[in-house]
Amino acid sequence: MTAQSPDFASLAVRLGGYGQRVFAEFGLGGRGGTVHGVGLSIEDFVGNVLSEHLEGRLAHEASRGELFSLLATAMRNDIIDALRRAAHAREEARPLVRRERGAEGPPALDELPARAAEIAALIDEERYRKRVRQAFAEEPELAEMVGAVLDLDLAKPQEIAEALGISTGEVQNRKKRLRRRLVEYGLVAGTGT
Amino acid sequence: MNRADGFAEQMQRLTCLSDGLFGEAAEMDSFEAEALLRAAGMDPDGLKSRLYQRLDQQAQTHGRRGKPLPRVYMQALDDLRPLTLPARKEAEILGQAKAAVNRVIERAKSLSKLLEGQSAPTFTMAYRNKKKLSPRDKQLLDSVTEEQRKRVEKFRGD
Repeated sequence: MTAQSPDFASLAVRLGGYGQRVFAEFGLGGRGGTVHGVGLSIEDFVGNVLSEHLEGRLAHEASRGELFSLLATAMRNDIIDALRRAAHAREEARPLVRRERGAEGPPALDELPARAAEIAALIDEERYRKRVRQAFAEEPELAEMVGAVLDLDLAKPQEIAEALGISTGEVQNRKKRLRRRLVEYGLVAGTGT
Repeated sequence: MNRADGFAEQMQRLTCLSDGLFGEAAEMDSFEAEALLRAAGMDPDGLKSRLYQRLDQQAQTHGRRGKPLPRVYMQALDDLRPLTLPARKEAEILGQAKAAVNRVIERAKSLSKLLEGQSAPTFTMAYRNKKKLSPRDKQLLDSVTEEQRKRVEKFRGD
């Protein structure tokens, strides 16, 4: 089944907003921000993913959910992949760094040299957790949400609501506030160590 | 498991964490997206305009190579085309007008969705106990109340 064609103006704005969120998660800044070493901005990522879809290289089937979700997921993966490529580009610029021969795939993130590791740290899970905790530590309601997800390993709004003794509507409100704060201040870039 | 798989798994975990904290992508509607863009100093109309230019340039490249543009591509160009640009032909004006009207309707629907799930407004009946109100006053106030109730219910799609 083919999906009904959406309003691309609204789709582009939503992708832009989501791109902004992902950039903020990885400390890449706002409008002028680009993925270090790759030089791609939010607009580049939105444009690329839209082109891929419009040219038929990223097909969407209505049975597999909303088109926006497909494109947003593809864009998020592109951003993370660009970060990984940036880290490895730094690594390749240092020929004296020891590299394992015959290893499948790229080296593990913690095997990268200093500057590359700094970029890789942006997508390291433990450091991501630490940056999130730091970013929302001073707002009790948001810190409570962060704790429920990071410490209690909860993800579904219903589970979080039960654990915190609040309604699911309040969970959604807090997530919205988290997104807003995230975009306004971003997670602190760097190793976070 | 090789390193590429390890990386994919690591990214999957990161995405799950992100969704848990900040919500899934689909939770962000165009109102919120616009607000987030503005909060980051990015003008949504400017973004659409630049995306239009980018896609238009790619479309011209397609044309030079003799490749026909997919219909969905043409629709995207119509949707993103800034209203400040002169329309190329009558059909395009129609398309732009349709897209603009659809966006207004979509916004109206979103507003109505915002009201969904909220309890219906309650109307105070305290005026009924005021002894100085005449039966005619009460009748008038009742009819206003009823009219407002109907308007709210109609707006909520009840």
